[in-house]
Amino acid sequence: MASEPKKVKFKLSDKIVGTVDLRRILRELQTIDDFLYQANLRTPGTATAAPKTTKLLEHLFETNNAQILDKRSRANMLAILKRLDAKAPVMHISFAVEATPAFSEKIVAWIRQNIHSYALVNLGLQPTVIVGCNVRTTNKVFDMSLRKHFANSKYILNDKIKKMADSEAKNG
Amino acid sequence: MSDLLSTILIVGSLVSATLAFIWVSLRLGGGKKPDEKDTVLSAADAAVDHIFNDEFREELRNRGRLHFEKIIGENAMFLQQDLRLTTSQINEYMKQEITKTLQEAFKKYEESITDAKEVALKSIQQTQSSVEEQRQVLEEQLKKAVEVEKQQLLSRFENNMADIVNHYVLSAIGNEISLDDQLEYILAELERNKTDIVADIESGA
Repeated sequence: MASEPKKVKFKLSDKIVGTVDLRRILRELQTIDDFLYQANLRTPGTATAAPKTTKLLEHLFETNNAQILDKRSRANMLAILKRLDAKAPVMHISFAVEATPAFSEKIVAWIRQNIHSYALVNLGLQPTVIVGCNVRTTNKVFDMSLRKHFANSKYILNDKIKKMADSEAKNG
Repeated sequence: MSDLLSTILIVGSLVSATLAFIWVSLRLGGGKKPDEKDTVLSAADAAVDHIFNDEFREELRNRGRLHFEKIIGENAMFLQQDLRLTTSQINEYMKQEITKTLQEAFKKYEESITDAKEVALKSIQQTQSSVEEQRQVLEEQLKKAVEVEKQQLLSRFENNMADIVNHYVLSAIGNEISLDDQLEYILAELERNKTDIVADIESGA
């Protein structure tokens, strides 16, 4: 009885944050695939300049236990990446300042762990947010700024102020 | 004074003797003829001229002059005394009159000053009461304005409390909040909205 090949679930690297990163990886992989395909057609011994691979692409293949020189692996990866480009859910998150790569990676890791495994996160700038962020999904906008948090918690401050005013009035 | 009386007596006796002589002559010569009468008259004139001769007249004149001078001197003295008395009386009277006039004038001035003072006091009291009323009105207006302003500020503060606190937080800590420091807050907010985000993503476009 032949055992079925174990299906390895595709793992999208947390370093690939948004659609820009995904498309750059896609173009890069496409270029490498084209080059390797053309190299097979050339006469052996002909000098060619191989395109350099980026660490991001290498990390993606390593994460998914695939070989970049393997034609089938490349084809699968290309197909997956194209599918992700077309179908993956996209979220837009805006911060007050530009996010560092490490921070982006942490946010993306949490999103892919808790919300969707293949979610793509486009990061933007929104200086009015100041503290927190704005999240925009397909149909909704979530204001997660500190301003909104304060607005929601306004009654607490109102109660405190009224209590202080009352105590001051009692003390004269 | 006695000299004067004696002179008067002498002159009086002489005049009376002459007049008696003339009367006797006339009585005696009443039945005589006009020539005789003229003779008597001329004799009387002669007798008068004999009695009142120039020396006697000069003597009388001198006596009269001396007496007149004496009287004038005495009268001058009396007049001087009277004049002094009158002057002192006039002075006294003038003093009294001036004092009286001055007192009346001072009294009038005092009354005028008192009236002016009362008018001024009334005016000041009216001004004070008017100022006090104005002050009360202004105080009430000010209190109302302050109360309105206070309410406006409170309502504005309550309405914009989130922005105010946000601005305060930004001013207080400014650029010191890095995204790494916000990570925990952002992840908590994502966790809080996780269900809605997942639902929206799963529902698709």
